[in-house]
Amino acid sequence: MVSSRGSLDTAAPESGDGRAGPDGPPAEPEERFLRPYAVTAGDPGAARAVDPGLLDLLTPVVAVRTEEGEGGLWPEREAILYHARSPRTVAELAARVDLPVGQVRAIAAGMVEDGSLRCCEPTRSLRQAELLQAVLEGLEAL
Amino acid sequence: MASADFETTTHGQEPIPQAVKIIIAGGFGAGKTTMVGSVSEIAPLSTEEVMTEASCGVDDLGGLEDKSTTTVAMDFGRITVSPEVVLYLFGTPGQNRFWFMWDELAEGALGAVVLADTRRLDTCFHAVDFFERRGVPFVVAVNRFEGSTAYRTEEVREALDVPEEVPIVLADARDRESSRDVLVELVTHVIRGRSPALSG
Repeated sequence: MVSSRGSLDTAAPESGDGRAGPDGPPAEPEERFLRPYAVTAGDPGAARAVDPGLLDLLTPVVAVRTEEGEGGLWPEREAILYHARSPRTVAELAARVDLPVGQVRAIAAGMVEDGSLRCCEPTRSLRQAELLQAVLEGLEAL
Repeated sequence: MASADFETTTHGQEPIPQAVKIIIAGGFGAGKTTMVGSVSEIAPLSTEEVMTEASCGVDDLGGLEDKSTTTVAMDFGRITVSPEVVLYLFGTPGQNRFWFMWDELAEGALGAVVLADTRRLDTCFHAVDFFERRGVPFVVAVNRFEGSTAYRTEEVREALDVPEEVPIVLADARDRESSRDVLVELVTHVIRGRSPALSG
């Protein structure tokens, strides 16, 4: 098992004794050590001075401008602007740009601060009882 | 919040629905991600990763021999319940070390589903405690796993020590209709709980 055959047998994660071996450190786990938040840490417009708590997961945001201009050095901001052409909740934005929610929230909070994004309000605010009734009816119709 | 006529956005032609959320909670491996996925209209945003050997020592895998991945951050699905209202389903992180995210998820939630796995019922105690303490209305859904003993809901109620008014239902998280029924049960429960305080 510790022979070369073991390394070919990728379909059997059970053979974890390879971990103890001196050779064959699995390539995949190395990627895990990349902290995704490194992106926001390097972005002067993002997490540094802005409280991400400004944005709830369900806060809809919309792009105020379509292109980043000088900020084009930050592909994450470009991606957020692109996907926020129509109003989207922060959670959905994160899904679209395929980055962790916490990271997108931090970047988006910075972009709200600098005027690239704007928070939206629902077109119509329903009372809690109306909301619950709408949810109930919608679920029952599924 | 109170005002309904906010300035429309530059994309004013597109109505912005009100977003609400329901939490799908439960122990590690109870089927939260499965339930979110079975009723969501979009492929859930999922940050699942294959578990490493290192985490096997941290997370209790008893009875979960087939489970190779777990939600390490958060996942959610979406149901457009009407043109004006969109419901988001948030699956909670199953592992204890992600508890810090629960507070935020609970904030403003309509209610919660606690998924119970009868093979490891104790893994959902935390969730029950949490929602009771926070005053978030919840229902318990007993997810039926193959190979698990079929308990009656009353036995589960006794084991979890939840009051009579908290609904306990049997469910199959993989099944869209079953998951839908659990959500209907929850929303009905929430409405019922509000009715004494509301005239209508």
